[in-house]
Amino acid sequence: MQLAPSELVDTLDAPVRRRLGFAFWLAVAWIVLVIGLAVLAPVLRLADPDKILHGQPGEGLLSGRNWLGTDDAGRDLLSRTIWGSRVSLLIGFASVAIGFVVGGLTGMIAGYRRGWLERIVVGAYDVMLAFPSLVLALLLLTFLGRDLGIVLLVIGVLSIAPIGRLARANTVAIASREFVLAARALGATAARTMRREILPNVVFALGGLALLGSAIAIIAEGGLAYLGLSVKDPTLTWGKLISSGSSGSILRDYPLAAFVPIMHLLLTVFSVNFIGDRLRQHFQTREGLSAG
Amino acid sequence: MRLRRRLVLTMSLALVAASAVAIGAPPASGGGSGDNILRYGVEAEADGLNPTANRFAAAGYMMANAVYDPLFRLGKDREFHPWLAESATPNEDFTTWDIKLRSDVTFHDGTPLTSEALVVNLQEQLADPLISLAINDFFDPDNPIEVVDELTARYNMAGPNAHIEQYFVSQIGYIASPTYIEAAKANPDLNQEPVGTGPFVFESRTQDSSTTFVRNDDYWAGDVKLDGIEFVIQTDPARRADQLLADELDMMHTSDFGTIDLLRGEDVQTIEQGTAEEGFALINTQAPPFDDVRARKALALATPRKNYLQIIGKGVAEPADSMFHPSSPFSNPDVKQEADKPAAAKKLAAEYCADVPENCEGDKIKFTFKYTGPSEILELTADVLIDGWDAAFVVERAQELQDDYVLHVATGDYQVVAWRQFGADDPDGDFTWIDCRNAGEPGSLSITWSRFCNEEIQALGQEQRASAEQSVQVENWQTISEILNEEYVYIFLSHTIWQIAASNDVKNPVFTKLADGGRSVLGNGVHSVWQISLKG
Amino acid sequence: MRYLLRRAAHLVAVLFAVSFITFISMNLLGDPLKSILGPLYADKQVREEARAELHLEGSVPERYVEWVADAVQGDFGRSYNTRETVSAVIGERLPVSLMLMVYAQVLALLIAVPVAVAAAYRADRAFDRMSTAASFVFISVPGFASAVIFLYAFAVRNDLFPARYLDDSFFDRLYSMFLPALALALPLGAVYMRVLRNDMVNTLQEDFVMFARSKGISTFRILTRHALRPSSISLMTVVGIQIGALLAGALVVETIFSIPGLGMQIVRSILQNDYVVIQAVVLVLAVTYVVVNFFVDALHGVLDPRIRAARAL
Repeated sequence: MQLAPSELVDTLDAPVRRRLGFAFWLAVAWIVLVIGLAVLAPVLRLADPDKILHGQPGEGLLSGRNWLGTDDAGRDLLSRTIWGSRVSLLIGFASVAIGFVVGGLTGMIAGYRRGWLERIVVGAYDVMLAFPSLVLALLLLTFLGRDLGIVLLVIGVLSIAPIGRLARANTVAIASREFVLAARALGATAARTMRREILPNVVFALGGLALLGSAIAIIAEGGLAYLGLSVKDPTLTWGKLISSGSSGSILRDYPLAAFVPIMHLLLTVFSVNFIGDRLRQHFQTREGLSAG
Repeated sequence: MRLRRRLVLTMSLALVAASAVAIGAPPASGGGSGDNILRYGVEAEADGLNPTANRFAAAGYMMANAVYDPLFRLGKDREFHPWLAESATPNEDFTTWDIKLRSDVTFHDGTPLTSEALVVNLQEQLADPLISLAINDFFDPDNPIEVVDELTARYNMAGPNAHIEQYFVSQIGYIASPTYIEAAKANPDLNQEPVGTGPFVFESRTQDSSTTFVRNDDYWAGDVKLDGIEFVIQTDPARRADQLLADELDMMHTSDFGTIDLLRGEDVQTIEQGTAEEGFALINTQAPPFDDVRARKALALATPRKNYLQIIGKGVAEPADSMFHPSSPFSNPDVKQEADKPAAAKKLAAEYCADVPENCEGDKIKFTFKYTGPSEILELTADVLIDGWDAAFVVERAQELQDDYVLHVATGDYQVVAWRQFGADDPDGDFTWIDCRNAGEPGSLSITWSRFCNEEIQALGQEQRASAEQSVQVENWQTISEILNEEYVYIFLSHTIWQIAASNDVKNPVFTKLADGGRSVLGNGVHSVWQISLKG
Repeated sequence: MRYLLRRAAHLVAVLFAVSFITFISMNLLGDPLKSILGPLYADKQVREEARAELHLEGSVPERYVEWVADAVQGDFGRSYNTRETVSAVIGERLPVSLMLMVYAQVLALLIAVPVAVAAAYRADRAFDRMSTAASFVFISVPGFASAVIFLYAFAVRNDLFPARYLDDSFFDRLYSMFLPALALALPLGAVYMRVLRNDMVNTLQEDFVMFARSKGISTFRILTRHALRPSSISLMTVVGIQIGALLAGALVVETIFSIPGLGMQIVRSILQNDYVVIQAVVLVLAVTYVVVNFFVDALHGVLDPRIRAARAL
C-alpha cells in the first residue's frame, strides 16, 4: 500500500554499479519461476488445490507428494500457493498496467497541453492522493463488490495518480527541451510530437516505477484480504491464503498454511524491488528521475 | 505476571532502541492482580444489550445473564423452573398464561419490578421489526399482554399453547427496567448500558474489546461472591483458549470443535452440552432443482459426511441424523441421515437430468451454494461439502455478508445454504421453523426457511403445541423427524457442542442453585453466573 | 503568507472533493437500504420508515449538504445496526488507532536515527553496508507479514506477548501493542534510516562541516550536533509522506492482533453492511490525512524557502 518509497528511492544517491551481480540474476530467476508456474499451473500436473484430504491435514515440508505440506483440510499447499499466485501476480501487473495507460496518458497530455486541462488533471490527481490509498480502495470495494475485475480495477485506479503525476512532471521537463521545440517548430502535430519525441522519454522514466508499483499492488491485495475485501471466494490469492492461515487455530496447529504463501509473497516482492533498484542504478539517468 | 510483562516489554524496547534511549518508567497502576473479578472470554460482540432492541446470540445471552434475570431457567432435569417469575398458570385450554413475579425485587436503577415491566418489555419487543419476527405468531395480535394485578401479567396466546415457559428462558424472558427501556428509546446509545435486576450492575463497555459489570450488593437471590465480571471479546476460539491457559481469562465458552478437543486435554475444568443446535445443509424446496425430491436425495447421497466430521468436526463432533440428539426422548432411533454414497448420487442425478435437462449440465445437476462470511470455518465447510457434491452436481458458490445472506434465505432467494438451527429444549420451540403458516410464497418473507409444507407435519405440530402431555410430543416429533428424513428436507451434519472451560480457581462455574431447590444447567452454551466465585 | 493562503484554498477544495466522493459512492452504487435492512427490506413499511429516518429522501445535492452540515458538527447519524451514534463509535476507536500509529512512529524513529547516525559515521564500511542491505529487505516486508510472523513467534509459540489488546493501564496498552507497532515500524524505520543516512552523508561533505572538522570537533559530535538538525527537515517530509502507508498498515495489523481501533470497526461494519459507519470512518480518515498532510506541507514550506520557491512554479 505504500506508494511513497518510489519517490524516495529515486532521490537516493546510490553508488553507480556497472554489473548487475549474482543476486540480481537470482532475483530474476525467482520471478521467472513464479511467473512460469503461475502461467503453466493448468497444464502442470499439480494437485487439485481444492481437493480435500489430498494428504493428511497438517503434513510437513517434503512429506510424500505434498512438497510444501498440507493445510488443515489436507489440501496441497504448493498447489494452492501457485494457484493463488495467478491472481496475485495478475493484480500486481495488470493493475499497474491500468495505472500506466490511464495515468501515463493523462499525465502526458496534461504536461504537454498545460493550461486549464492541466489544472483539472492535476486537481483530479490531488483528490485521489488525498485519500490514503487503502481507504479509497475500501470505499470503492465496499460499494462495488469484490469480483476479480473490480479488485483489479480498483487497485489499478490507485496507481493512476502517482504515475500520472510523474508522467506530467517529466513531460513538462522534456517538452521544453530543444529537440521537442525543434519538432514543433517544424510543424509536427501535437499527437505526433507526443508519440515520437515525448513518449519514449517518459516511458523510460516511468519504467522505474513499474516494478515498484506491481510489488505495491501485490501487497495491497494482502492488506485488503485482511479487511475481507479481496477477490470473492472461491478464487485463491496470496493475501487470502495468508489471512486465513493466520487465524488462531490454523496458525497454531498448521503454521505452514500461512508461512508458505508468506514466503512466496515476500520473496516475490523483494525480488521485484531488488530488480527495479538494480536496473535503476544500472541505467542511472538522473534527469528522468528528478521530478516528482 | 505483571513483573514479567514489564520485563519483556522493557527488554524488547531496549533491544529495538539499540542505542540506550531511555523511555519513561511506565505507570505502575492497573486492575487485574488481587481483585476478585472474573474474566470471561466470549466468542462475539453483541450489537447491544437491550433485550427489547438488540438480538442476543450466545455471547449476548452470557452478558445478559450478568445484568438481567430471566423469568425461567432450565434445570438439570431439562424442565423449566421459575426464576424471576414465581409461577406460570395457564387457563384450561392454554390460550392465556398468568405470570406472577416474585415480590420485593428492584431494578438497578431503583425501579420496582412489577407486572407493568412485563408489559413494557413484551410490547417493545413486538414493536421491534426484527425481534418480533420469531415471536409475533405466538401472541394475540390485538391484546398480547395485560396487567392482572401488581405482580401478575396475563399473556394472551394466538392459539392453544402449552409451551410458553420455554420462551421465558430466552430473550423474551430477560426483563429490563421499564424506565431504562423508555430512556433507551429516546437515546439508543443507552442500548450499550443495560439496567436489569441481575447479580451484576453494568459498569463500562468498550465494543469489540470488553464489557465490565460490578457486584449487585442487593441481589434478591442471595450473596454474589465476585466483585465483578468482565466479558472479554475474543472472536478467535484458539486464541481464547490460549488466553485461558495463560491465565489471562478465568472462563470461556466455545462451540469450535478443535478448541473443544484441545481443552479436554488441558488442566482446566470443562463442562459440555452436546444437545445444542444442529449443523445442516438447508435446502429451498420451492426452487428448482430441489423442488424435486430426487434432486434433494441425490444431494444427501453426495454429501461427504465423513470428511465433514473429520475436517470440520475434528473427530469430536457427533454426527446428526435428525434435529434431535440421540439422548433426547424425542429422537427417533430409526431415522438415519443418508450420505457418503457418491455413486448412488450420480445415478440419481443422471435420472433427474434425463427428465429436466434445463437444470443440468450433462449428467450433473446445477445449483448455487450460498454461505456467509468472511469466516474461515464456513469457507472450509463450503470447500469440504462442495468437494463431495462435485460427484453429482455442478456447484457455484457464493459467499454473502450476513445480512444479505439472511435476507436471501428469508425471501427464498437461495437453493442450498449452510445453516444452524433447532436444538430447543422443548421441541415445540423448533416448530416455528417448520410451521406451514410461516412458509410463504416465493419472494415473500418466510421463517420456515426450507419452505417445505406438509399437511401431516402441520397437524402433528399443532396438536403437540396444544398439548402438555409429553407422550403426545414424543410420538408426534418422532413422526415429524421421519417425514422430514424421507423428504430430504434437511441434510443433517453434526450436533453443536458447547463447552464451558474454567480455570481450576473458579468455583461453581455453571450449575447454580434454582429458586425452587433444583440446579440450573447449560442451555445452548448459556448459563447463569451469579454463584461463581474465585479461589484465593 | 501567500503560500499558506494558496495551500489553504487548495485544502478546502480537496476536502470538498473528498467528502463528496465519500458521499456519492454510498448513494449512487446501489440502494443502501437493501443492505442496511437485511431481511426486513421485503417489508415495505419498514423500508419507507427507514428511508425517512436515514434521510434518504430528497435529491442528492440536498442530502449531501445536509450530511456535510451535520458532519461538521460531529453528527454522523446513528448506526442502523447498533443504534449508537457514529460519533461515539469513532470517539472510542480513533484514539486506539492513533496510539498504535504514534507508537509505531516512535519505534521507527528509535530504530532509524541511531542506525542512520552510526551508518553515516563510517559510510561505506561494514555496518553501513549491512544496515543499508537490511533496510532494503525491511522496506519490502509489509506490516501484515511481519505481524503474522511476530504473532506466531512471540505470542503463539510462547507467550512473551499477548495476542490481544489489554487496556487496563497505559502500560498494558504499550505492552499489548508492542508487536503490532514493531511490525509497522520496521518498513517505516527502514525508509527513515535510508533517507537520514544519505542526507547525513551529504551534509558531512558540506563546507560548514569541513570547517567544524578543521576546528577539531569530533565527527560524532558533528553528526549529532550539526548534521542531524538540518537532516531532520527531510526526515520530517518523509514522515509526512509515510502517514498514508502507516494508516493503511495500522488498519490491517489491528485485525491481526484484535486491537479495537478503526480497522476492526471497519471489518465489523463491512460485515454488517453498516454503511452509515463506513462512510463516516472513511470521511474521518481521509480528512485527518488531508489535514495532517497540509500541516506537514505548510510547516515544511515555511521552514525551507527553497521548497516554497519550487512549489510556486
